[in-house]
Amino acid sequence: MSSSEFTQVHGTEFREYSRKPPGLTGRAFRLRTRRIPTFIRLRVVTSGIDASLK
Amino acid sequence: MGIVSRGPVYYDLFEEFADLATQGMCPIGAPDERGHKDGWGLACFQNGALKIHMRDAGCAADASKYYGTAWKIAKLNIERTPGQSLIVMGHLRRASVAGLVAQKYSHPFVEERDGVTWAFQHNGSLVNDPGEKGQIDSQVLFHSVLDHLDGRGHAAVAKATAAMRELAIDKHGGFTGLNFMLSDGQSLHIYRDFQTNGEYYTLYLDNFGEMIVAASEPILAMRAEPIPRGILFTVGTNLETQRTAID
Repeated sequence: MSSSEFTQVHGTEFREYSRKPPGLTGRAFRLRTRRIPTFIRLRVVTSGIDASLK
Repeated sequence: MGIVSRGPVYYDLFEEFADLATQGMCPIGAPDERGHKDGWGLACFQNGALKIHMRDAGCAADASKYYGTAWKIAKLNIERTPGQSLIVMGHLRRASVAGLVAQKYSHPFVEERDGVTWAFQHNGSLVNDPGEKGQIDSQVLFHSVLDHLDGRGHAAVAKATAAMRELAIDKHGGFTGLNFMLSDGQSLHIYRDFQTNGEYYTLYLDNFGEMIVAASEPILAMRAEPIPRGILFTVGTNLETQRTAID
């Protein structure tokens, strides 16, 4: 899933954490939404960005 | 930023807020190079008592201490225990007077009066230098509010706000912005007022369900309309809101 597809599906932008919350490893992003936050981790692969919700 | 929550205050809000130090609106009407990097501060009341107060000079977005303090606050009341309350205040400073950049000038300021601990943060400046040695104009305004308080509820703060506004005009030649947030741990008082540059001196208020968030610009998809000028809003720990026009 590309970042633009992700934004389309979830209807919101996301931004990489400046300081990751403890326990998160790798590249971690936050959704820019008014909902209770959901951490997402992104795994960069050759075909685009593979996002998994936590 | 100011938050009243009956649950936790989640970490992402602090991340979003810190972004404003470099990307937030500046007096010219857009972000500029100076940003709001002259100081930062966080204060957190838990169930009415001041639990955390940390501030420093410099840019929040570069400060490990900022994020460490944010994480400490974000861990409070994660269990959502009924009857618990958190009031959090956060400030990013853009010094209006060159040279007055130091930890002691970073908001929120905290003072105790008659056994009550008050925290205050302000955006704007007085037209004339108040000439109080060792104090910036925001501290002068804070002391003015405290000096005029005859209670700690909404009506008392509204009366003290009116007196402080009058003093700012009569004694100090007026103000650019008089936006402030004030808390005693039981309520968060939010006031927006300006004599110039109303496009910049904004404040937004929105209800997220278990918490109410006030911020100088919308964060995390907050309501897009700023609160009106000259109205004092008071949010209690039960999230009930009172408002009074300040004349």
